[in-house]
Amino acid sequence: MSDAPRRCHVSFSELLDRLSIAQIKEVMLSEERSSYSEEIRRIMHDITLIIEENNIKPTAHFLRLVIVLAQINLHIWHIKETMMKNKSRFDECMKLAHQLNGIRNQVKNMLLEESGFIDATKKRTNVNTDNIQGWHFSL
Amino acid sequence: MTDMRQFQFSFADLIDQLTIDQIKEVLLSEEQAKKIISEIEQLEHDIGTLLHNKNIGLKAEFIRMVILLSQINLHVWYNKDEMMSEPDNYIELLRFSQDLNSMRNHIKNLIMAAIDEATPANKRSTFFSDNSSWYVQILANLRNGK
Repeated sequence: MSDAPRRCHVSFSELLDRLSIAQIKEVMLSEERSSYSEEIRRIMHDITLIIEENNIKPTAHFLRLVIVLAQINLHIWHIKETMMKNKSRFDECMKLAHQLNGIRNQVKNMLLEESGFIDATKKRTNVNTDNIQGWHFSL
Repeated sequence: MTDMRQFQFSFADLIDQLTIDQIKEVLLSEEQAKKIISEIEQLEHDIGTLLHNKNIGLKAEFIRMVILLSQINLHVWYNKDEMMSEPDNYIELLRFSQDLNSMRNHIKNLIMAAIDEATPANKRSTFFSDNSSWYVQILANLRNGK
């Protein structure tokens, strides 16, 4: 097996997304907590590499986007819990989770732009929110 | 205009308030959200000013603390809803909220320490419920910068 370095890398916004999901699991799921902690450590290592390589500076808008992404993932988590607990609401919750996923992908694209990454191949295309109602995001 | 105030929000307070306003913007009515959006703009302004004036760099540890703070405040929000809908589990859920709030204060203290903003006077108190719960490993990881 070749030990040549990998050429395909997870994008900065994808790492931030994965960090926010692993953070939910580290708090909510006790059985595999060590595994999530280790994943968080590895993700943070790679985020540090990207920040240093690209000299990314923090802005208030960048922090706001991180906050929105972290919270959307937790909203989706709760919606999926409701979906599994209350089968009569399965379809309604499934649609809402899908719609929020569109906003989540929009936020990930905004995070790439805010951090100075303009490579279109890294952008998410599934950004439709299918006319979501009652969820306000002034981004 | 010179700012004459001597008692100001800390950077950690501003980030914390931004995470709470972000919850409100999403979950409250459209009419209420308009006022929240205005406050969010003011918070972003002051956060941007402090980032610049204190020359704060971006670190993975800081991003993680912002994520954790954002989600802890949302956990508290959902937990309060559950406390109302599940009165039989009220105390257990209240204990979870107490621990979440302690974790929130702990993270704000870490943010203040990271940017040289911490003083004995502005340090937030933490009152965790016991030493065998969900937060123990997270606290240890944060302490070790993991």
